[in-house]
Amino acid sequence: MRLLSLPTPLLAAISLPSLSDATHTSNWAVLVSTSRFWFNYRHMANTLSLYRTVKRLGVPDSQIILMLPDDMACNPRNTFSGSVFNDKSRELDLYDQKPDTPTQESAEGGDIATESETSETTPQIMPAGIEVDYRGNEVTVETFIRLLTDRWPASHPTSKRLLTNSQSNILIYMTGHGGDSFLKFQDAEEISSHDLADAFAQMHEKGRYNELLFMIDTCQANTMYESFYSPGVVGMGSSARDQSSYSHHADQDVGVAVIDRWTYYALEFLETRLNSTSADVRLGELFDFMTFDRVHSDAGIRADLLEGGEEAARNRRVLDFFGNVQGVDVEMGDGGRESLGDWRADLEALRRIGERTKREMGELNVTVGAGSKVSAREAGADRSVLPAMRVEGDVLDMAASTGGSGWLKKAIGGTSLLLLGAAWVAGSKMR
Amino acid sequence: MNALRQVFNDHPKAIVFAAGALLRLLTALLFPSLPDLLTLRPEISTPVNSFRRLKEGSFLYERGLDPYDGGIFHQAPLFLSLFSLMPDPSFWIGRLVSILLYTGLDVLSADCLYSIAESGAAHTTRSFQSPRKARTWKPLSVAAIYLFNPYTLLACLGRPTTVFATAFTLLSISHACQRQTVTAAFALAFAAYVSLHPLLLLPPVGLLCYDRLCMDMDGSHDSPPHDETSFAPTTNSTIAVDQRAFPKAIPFALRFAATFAIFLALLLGLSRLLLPSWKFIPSVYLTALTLPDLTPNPGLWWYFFIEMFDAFRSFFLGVFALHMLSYSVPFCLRFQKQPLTAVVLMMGIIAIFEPYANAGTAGAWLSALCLLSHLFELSSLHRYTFPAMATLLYSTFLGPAFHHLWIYAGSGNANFFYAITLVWSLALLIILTDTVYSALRDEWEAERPEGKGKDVGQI
Repeated sequence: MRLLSLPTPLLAAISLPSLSDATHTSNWAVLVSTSRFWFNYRHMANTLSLYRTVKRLGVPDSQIILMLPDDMACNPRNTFSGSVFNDKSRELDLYDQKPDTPTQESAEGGDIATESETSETTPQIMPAGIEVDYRGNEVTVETFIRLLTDRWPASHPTSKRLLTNSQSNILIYMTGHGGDSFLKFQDAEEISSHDLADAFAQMHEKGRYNELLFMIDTCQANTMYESFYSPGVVGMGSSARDQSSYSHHADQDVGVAVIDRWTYYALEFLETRLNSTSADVRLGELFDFMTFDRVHSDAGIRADLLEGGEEAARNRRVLDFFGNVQGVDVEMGDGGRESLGDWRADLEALRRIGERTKREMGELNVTVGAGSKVSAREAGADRSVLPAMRVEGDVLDMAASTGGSGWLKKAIGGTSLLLLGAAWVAGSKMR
Repeated sequence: MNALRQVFNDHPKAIVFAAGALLRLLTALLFPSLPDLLTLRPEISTPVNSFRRLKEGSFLYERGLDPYDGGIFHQAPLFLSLFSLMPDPSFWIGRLVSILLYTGLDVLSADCLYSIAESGAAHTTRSFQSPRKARTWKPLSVAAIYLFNPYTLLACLGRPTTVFATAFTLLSISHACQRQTVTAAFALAFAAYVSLHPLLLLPPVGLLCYDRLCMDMDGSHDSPPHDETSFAPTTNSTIAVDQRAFPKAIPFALRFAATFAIFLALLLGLSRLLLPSWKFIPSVYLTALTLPDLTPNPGLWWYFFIEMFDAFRSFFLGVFALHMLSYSVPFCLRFQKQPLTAVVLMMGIIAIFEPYANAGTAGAWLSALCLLSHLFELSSLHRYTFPAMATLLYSTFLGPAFHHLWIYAGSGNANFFYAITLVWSLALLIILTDTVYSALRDEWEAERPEGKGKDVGQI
């Protein structure tokens, strides 16, 4: 029973049979939306949906870089301010701060993002909150390329860096408006497929990834991965050259389209097939799920840069890129007993540290209450914060009335005026 | 209706003065927030005459502190003693009493204007009689213009202390017209004590006083207020005048200046007795010369000195002050035949070019200009009276609007307000120069009556 309450990824780690051939030790996700303005609501919803999925599958915020160029939740045109939805049923708020609670499985094709509960699995709790790393005007081509290649000044915070190494698998998801071999950033600039390919090449040279899954949902998306030349990169695009990618549906009350087709079906796949991580879902199934009937465009993949080509790519686990599954060696057997003994010794040491700390805390409380030295110090501190008025006697109390000296001043004033009047009269007598 | 007209005809002066006073009191009572609003307006309250700063200063004074220690209070010390006798202006009774006091000052000023107009000093002097004597307005009209001038009304409600300076300046001129040299000097000393610039009126007022003394000496009396005599210049008496009986000019000037200086010293000494130190002298008088406080006002100085580099500051301060100073004696020299014109024109120069100009002083000057009402025919025919009046109205309405846009709405900038102050000064200057033209032409036409109506051009 105790085992079942462990977090799901650990469950997955223990339950998956051939875990030892997972060659990566960390999972990172870079989720980029490149569009600004209210009518590009769906791109933000796409990205936030992927963010939610990736978090649900165990990747922590510290390993997710989320780039959102505009704020839909607090947009003045948002009727439902503070909320971003990816479905017209509005059952799931992507921008919600509350941790997820599992809800009932609803009709097929409806709420793709709600979690459905099956009898074998425990409810998955998604950690609450959205952590946006790059927002607004920070989402630029330069920032993106710097992020990938880690070329920052020393002052750049670590939370905004892609701190991957050669054992990291990276999922890069990009959505927005694109064209033949380019992707538009914020209506102001473009990144070309060659720039992206060169960035990936730099990453490979610096040993910044183990394997990279590049997903892109724009018009003519497949053209973006055609220029890649670094090994270990798998590309998935939503539409071929001269084809547009379409939005799935619009919400009449939000007023704009809320999700794109390709992302919608990707999410449907991930939510329905991957909610129980005992499922050994492969990338090939994801590829095959994106049919023309569903996506209304020719979704494509590029897998020739992976060792073993398309076959190896299709065989990769989805969780290799989407979840935070790590290769863990569990020591068993004789070594296990020793390790258990070590573990026990560690626990004992921790207990002793805890008791010592508690003792010290208790002493502190006692001394604060009683000791005269301490109280004198406290009283001195108290004295120093008293108003200066009570310490020095000669500071005037300005709020009070003038008192006796005021009458004197009035008398002096009146006398001086009378004196002037007398001088005036005297002067008028003279000629 | 007839009864009312009868009453008015019997006691015209009392009616007009009462109406003026009542107007101020009623406005203060009907719009209770208006006085405090006006004390905030930069057009009326400047750093050297603001009523709020006076309240601040008297607060500190009553508690035994030197109000001149901080850089806030730049007004004469006797105001502290005067206002300490009055109830606190924060309450309605104090506000009412202060407005009563200022209403009294306004009535006093109007009365002085009445007596100046009545004395005929504008058109009849020792050596000159204006051919347009018959066109002078009634003295009551001049007083009424002062009382019902919106600028002076707003100044009365806003209560800047320069109203004292204006009142005492007019008092000084009026006493000078009545040949009372000592009180004229005293009043001018008080005006200079309040605000530095009436010091520049010393030469013209001295000249006026001397002129009136001489007129008195030669046995002639004041000309009747509304003389129906012909246009031809006539001597006031047919008896030959013994000019040796005239007071000597230089000793008179020295006596006048000495009286002025003695009274000024008396005032300063009395102030020193009230205060713990002499610090009030740099605070009150050097402020106008060194301009430490550059709060925007309708004057021309603040904008310049905001953007002035420190190295040039003293030079330009000197230039500006010298400019204002440089009109005093030349006006006296040129207008020695009509000294009251010199006085009024110098008042205008001060109202336009003083560092902390305000609408109250300018309004008082415009009213005083009506003393030279016999010249209006000339300026309205030959000069730019209508454009000047229109510009004056324009800047009066746009000035507060642009100030509001600049400071409060944030949609304008300093240039808006400065432009309006330039326009305001331009309007006043046009009126001033037109008056200079009219006075000079009038003098010329007294000698050459055939030149009347002809255009004057440069050869």
